Amino acid sequence: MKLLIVDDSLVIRNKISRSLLSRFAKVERAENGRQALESAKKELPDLITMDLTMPEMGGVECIRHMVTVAPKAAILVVSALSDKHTAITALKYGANGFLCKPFTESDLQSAIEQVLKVAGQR
Amino acid sequence: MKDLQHITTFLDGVSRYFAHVSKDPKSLELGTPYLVRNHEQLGLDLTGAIAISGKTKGFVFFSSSRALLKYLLLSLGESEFTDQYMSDIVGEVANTISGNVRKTLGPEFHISTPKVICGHLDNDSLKPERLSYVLPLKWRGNTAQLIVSLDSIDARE
Repeated sequence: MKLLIVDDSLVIRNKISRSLLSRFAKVERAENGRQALESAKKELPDLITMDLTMPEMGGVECIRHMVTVAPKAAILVVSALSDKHTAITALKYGANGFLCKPFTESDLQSAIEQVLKVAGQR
Repeated sequence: MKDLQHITTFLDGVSRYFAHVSKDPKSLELGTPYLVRNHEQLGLDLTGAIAISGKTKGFVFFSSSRALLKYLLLSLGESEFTDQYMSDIVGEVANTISGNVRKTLGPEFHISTPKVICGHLDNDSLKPERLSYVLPLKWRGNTAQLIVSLDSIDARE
């Protein structure tokens, strides 16, 4: 399985990578939505963790394009934007789950399980 | 009254953030929030600045000593404490606390990506006609401040 981590924070990319490294054969990283789309075209990831507030291209716009670039990828939004409106918008455009920052490793693992389960049922 | 509601929301955000990075609830000490005029020098070693737009305009800053940022990086599993890592984490804390308050303040509280400032805050961010709330804190004995400078806090009132 391939994982793509999209977040403008190096520390968060590292944290997610360390937490999920054992579950994925390949881990790619992107700092914004534009880089994420380029990476996804080449790698066709199975799972994407997606921040929302990023420079150049934010997460919601990226998700809108991602559903055609990597239609089989499950998308977990990992964002500090904790309002219901944002979560609903991300899910409407194709995300499969939403994890609010700050998060623990256990929160992340549970959210990943849930998102892969939901995506597998599509 | 609206200001006080905002400040309580931000205090909750600070507590929530540090509760996630530390299992010891006593490691965070929140000081008493106070108001300052923006011409006073504000800012510690490094500051993550988030511009706020939408119904409310202004800035939210998480300003920290390097010592606190080092412990924060350690607790997140990092072993590098370069300027790149220090800048990244101070911006991420500012972003997380500002983003979390949308749960209470709503989606019209738009936040920017973080900008990192070294040393004192500049006049571009701190409008002289405004007042700012400073929420002092200590985490594991190291100092930081959350500075909330919104257009609802007007010095001319």
